[in-house]
Amino acid sequence: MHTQPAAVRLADLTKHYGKAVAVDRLSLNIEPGELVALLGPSGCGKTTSLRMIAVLVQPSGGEIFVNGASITRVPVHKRNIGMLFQSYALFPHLTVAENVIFGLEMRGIKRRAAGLRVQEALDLVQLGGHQHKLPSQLSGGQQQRVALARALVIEPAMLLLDEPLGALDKSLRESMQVELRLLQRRLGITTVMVTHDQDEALTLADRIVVMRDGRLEQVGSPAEVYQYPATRFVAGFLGVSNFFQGTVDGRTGEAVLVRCSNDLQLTVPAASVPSGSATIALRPEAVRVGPVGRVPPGPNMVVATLEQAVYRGFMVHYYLRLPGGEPLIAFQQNSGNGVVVGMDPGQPVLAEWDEGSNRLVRDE
Amino acid sequence: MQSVRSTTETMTVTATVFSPASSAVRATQGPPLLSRGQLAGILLLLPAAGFLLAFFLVPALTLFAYSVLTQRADGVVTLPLTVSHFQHFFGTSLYTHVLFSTLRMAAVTAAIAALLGYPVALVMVRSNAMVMRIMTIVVIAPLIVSVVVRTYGWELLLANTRTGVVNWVLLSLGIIHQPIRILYTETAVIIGSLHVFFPMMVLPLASALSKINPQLEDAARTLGAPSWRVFWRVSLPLSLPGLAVGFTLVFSLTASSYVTPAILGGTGAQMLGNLIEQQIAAVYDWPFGATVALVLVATVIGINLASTWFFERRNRL
Ligand SMILES: Nc1ncnc2c1ncn2[C@@H]1O[C@H](COP(=O)(O)OP(=O)(O)O)[C@@H](O)[C@H]1O
Ligand SMILES: [Mg+2]
Repeated sequence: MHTQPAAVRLADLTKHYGKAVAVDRLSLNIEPGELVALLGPSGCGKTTSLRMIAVLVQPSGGEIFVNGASITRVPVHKRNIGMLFQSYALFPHLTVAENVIFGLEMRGIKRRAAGLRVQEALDLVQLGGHQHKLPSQLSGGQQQRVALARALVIEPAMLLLDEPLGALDKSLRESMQVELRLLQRRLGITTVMVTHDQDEALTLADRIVVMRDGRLEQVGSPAEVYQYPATRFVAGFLGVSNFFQGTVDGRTGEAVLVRCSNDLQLTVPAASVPSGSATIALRPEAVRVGPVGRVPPGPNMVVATLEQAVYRGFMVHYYLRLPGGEPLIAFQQNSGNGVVVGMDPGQPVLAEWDEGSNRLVRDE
Repeated sequence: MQSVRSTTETMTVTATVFSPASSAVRATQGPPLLSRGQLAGILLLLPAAGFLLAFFLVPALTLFAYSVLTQRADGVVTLPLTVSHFQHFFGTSLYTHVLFSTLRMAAVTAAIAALLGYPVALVMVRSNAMVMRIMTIVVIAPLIVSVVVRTYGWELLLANTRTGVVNWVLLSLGIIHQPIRILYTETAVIIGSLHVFFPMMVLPLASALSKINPQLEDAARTLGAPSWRVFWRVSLPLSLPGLAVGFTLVFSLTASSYVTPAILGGTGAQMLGNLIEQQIAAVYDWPFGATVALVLVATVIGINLASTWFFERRNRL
């Protein structure tokens, strides 16, 4: 199967439902062959955005360009898109083969040629032997693979996935993620996927678009978005973060000094100095927890009370309380030598981390 | 007296439509030991079952028994058993003609109701809750007015004279130059029946259409189907159960109607219901009236079973 991957550009895409704004001026460039994940909490406008890209709903404003040409007013059935739905949306009265051949029939492709392509598509998703079954006779994972074959057999210019694995259980979902990723890479098909599952987005996407209240919050590679969250929302939504609130208190060398309380000062490597108050995000895995040996003299360390240590196999999660009452979470990997560092709840411990782990984030 | 009898006929036919309920009753009687729940279920069904038995089943069976009995000169219906009434019915071309035109009018009415009902039902399920409620009321509205009043209304509209509303309009517009004959034809009966029984088609269709996952239609569209093909390949086949119910209801109710053909059909478009009324109320031939009634009920049940079988088979494909 060969598809000509499409370049997609969204320009100020907007959708109003009455007074409510479902999607607000979404702009994005999608490279040919790229897999972009729209990630965000439920109701943030992911599905609406995807349906606008498919032109299943008409945008209230903005344009969609495919390979440079506006397709905003092209009816859906004249587009060449493969779409996967959370409910699989297989036609329940048609067999697997009839489902897959549907798109080819609509294109007026002769039965024999279409039959061969159906066979090829079903082999691609490893469902060769199930042609004559009804969707209801298949498991959830198999149904979604039929839906994938049905979407791919028409050799679409782009693939649109709306929480495609949301209805599967965890282990099946993970293996389907890998399968989907391999297939998408192999076919090199431009793909937009919607998910509220951060793991799915991190696993599958070339780039993640984090959305919030209909707006684009941050876009970047999984590592960029995870390592360098631009806003407090992204830092909290993607993975877990500790947040500190403080005031900028001059510079020390290359870094900005932020004073959070008498007990805690942070240094953040930043070129320009924002004045006034600052919000800093810190990943729990960056925090090292150890016994209090000496009084902490510098920034980026604090004596805290250990409230709870939760053993999680290869990780231990420490729940600490700062002197000012704020919580601090630390994830520490076990060494693997069988020794678990014992620390008793209620004891003071020293938490410290590197300056480079502090992230200045926008807080709005 | 007459209207009472016509409602009994209607009940005969509608009872066949809701037959799943009666098989459910049979199923609960199966196990030898009844649980509390089953016992409560039977107790709850008893009043309705008793009512049906006393006021529907017994009179209906008595009437059907008449069809194989002989009426003496003094009017008493008694033995010996005979099939002569059936021979008379099927041997007389007038009667078989009425049978076939009854079935034809019922089938045409049901078919037109389906053709007109789909667009209405589609609009209904696509609309928001407010529009849906208003449309439901409008669709059901004809049921609120008495069938006799409604039918006389149609008589005024369809009258064959220059003063009939339809003829008057057509004449005024210069489309026709002589009044055309609508009243006392099958067309008039079909129009009147359509008006009465349209909701019986629209409501099951709307119910079936609303159960279709809207993502199926989206999927068909993304696969390249224009609207009419989405309907033909997805919405229509998936709403066949609703169509089956609607078709059964409209067909049965039209085939067994009495008032509409009596007023709008006259002698030009008689139906079996009118034949029954004549035999029993005018000729006092109870056994022959019973025979016609039995033929009506048996044919309608037969056709409904066949169409249900057809729709279910289509559905499984
Ligand atoms: N057809 C619709 N009519 C009215 N509001 C809608 C409709 N579809 C979506 N919305 C609203 O738009 C917002 C975004 O919805 P959606 O795109 O489905 O979010 P997500 O997929 O991120 O969960 C929600 O507040 C939702 O209630
Ligand atoms: Mg959604």
